[in-house]
Amino acid sequence: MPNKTYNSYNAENFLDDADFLRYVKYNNPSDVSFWNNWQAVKPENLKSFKEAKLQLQLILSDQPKAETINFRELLLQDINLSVDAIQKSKKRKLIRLVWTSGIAASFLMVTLISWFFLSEITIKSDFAENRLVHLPDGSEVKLNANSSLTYARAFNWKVRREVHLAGEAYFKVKHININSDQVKKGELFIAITDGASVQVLGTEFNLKDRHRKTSVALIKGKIQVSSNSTGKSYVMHPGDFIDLDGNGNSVENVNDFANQTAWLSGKIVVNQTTVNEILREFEDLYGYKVMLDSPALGNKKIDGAISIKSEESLLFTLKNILNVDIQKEGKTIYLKNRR
Amino acid sequence: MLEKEIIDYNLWQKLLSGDRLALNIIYERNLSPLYQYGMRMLQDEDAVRDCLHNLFVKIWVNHKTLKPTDNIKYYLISAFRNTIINYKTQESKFQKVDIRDNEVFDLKFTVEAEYIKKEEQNKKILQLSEAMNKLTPRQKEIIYLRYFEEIDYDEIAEIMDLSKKGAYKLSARALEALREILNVDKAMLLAVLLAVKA
Repeated sequence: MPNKTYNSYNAENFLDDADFLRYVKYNNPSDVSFWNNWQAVKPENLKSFKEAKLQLQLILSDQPKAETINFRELLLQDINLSVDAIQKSKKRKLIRLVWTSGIAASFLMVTLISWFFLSEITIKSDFAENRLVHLPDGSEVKLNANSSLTYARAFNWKVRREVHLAGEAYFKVKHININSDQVKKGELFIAITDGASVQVLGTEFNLKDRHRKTSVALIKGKIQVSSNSTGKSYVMHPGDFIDLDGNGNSVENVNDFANQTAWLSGKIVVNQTTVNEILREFEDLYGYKVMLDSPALGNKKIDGAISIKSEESLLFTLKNILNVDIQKEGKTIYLKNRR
Repeated sequence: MLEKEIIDYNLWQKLLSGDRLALNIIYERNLSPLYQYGMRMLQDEDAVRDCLHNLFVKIWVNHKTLKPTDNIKYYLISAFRNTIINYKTQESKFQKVDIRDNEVFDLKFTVEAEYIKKEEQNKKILQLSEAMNKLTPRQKEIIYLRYFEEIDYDEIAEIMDLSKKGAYKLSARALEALREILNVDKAMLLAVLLAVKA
């Protein structure tokens, strides 16, 4: 029993005291005997004690509201059933989440992989623009103006290195073949145009495909050119040059060889070439349409080197060689005979 | 007391870690005071049953995010009071009755008990009981929580969402009301109303 200074307590103090509350509320024998002893000596504040006890008895006078055992047990059963149901649905949700996220992840992976293996990269050069393209295998491609090169994003993963060309380009193909008797996966390089495909291991060559005509000039190594329309193959050696027309027939012209790579140094080298051919080259590279006053002018043949570094210098040369006046209207150029 | 707090703290921690047995033990140990409090608040056993069911299921659903406590009964009564208020709000929406109009806290003070009758101050205590029966539901609730559930005034203020100032006003109003009703011994009156002070 706590040793408190109960003798100085007033009614309020008693009402606030936990031990006093316990005594009035529960009537524990030990509490009862303590407070009987305390009252026996007739302390001065006995009146306050009695008041407080009376009030507390009044406060606690209401009958307790007790639940039945039935209520208690059935409610607990219900709560446990509800909790079980929640647990189950949580587990189901988790399983569903694992499944759906797994499916989503594999779907995403399939999408990514197919995107990587199926998508292509296309590099285009504009009119009057040359571009240098580095392929993933280390090969280099110089694109002439108004040309485009397409290759698979998974270039290095393919059975053969394959590029598609429209226009003109100079190829420096990296040689990755180790044993020339045995060509392994990925060692073969193929450049495909509308008219032909060029199969190489490692070499330098110029490939041009414009106006249904494909021209190949080999600088280094050894290549095999196949016509797409006839399927006929030509094995070429350095210095060889081949022209394939729209029907796949070869029109060999050895003299033209030097012309083929002249664009790399910004020139056209012509050798008994008609004005029409030169103008067509100009149209291809700069995107103009050139109109001639008289058809006869177009059949005139020219020898020499003409700079194609800028359209102005080319037009200036033509003007002087052909003795014509030049008139530019938007994207059309008129060459008019001087009168 | 200290021992009880440790037991409460450990039992609650078990619940927080997802122990179903702890939930059942907590239910067994605390159902009676919760039931009694609920019956005094709602006077409807079915409603009390619904609220108790919601309380324990909600505690389980949220067991990962509950705060630790060393006084489970206080925690539960506090949470249960909120459950009951939500229940009442929903019911009143349904029935279109203002809850404040028919708010009742079922606590009666009666002098019929033998031990009170024996005492000499019969008349005074009769007057007091009459006065106390006229206390507002909230005042009765404070008295109930203090003397039946033995919850501290600080905790009662928290449970009932009373600021100290609000609690003071509540008791001051009660004091005035009692003075008007009857001329009771002032010391006695103060003693009772101290109990109301939160």
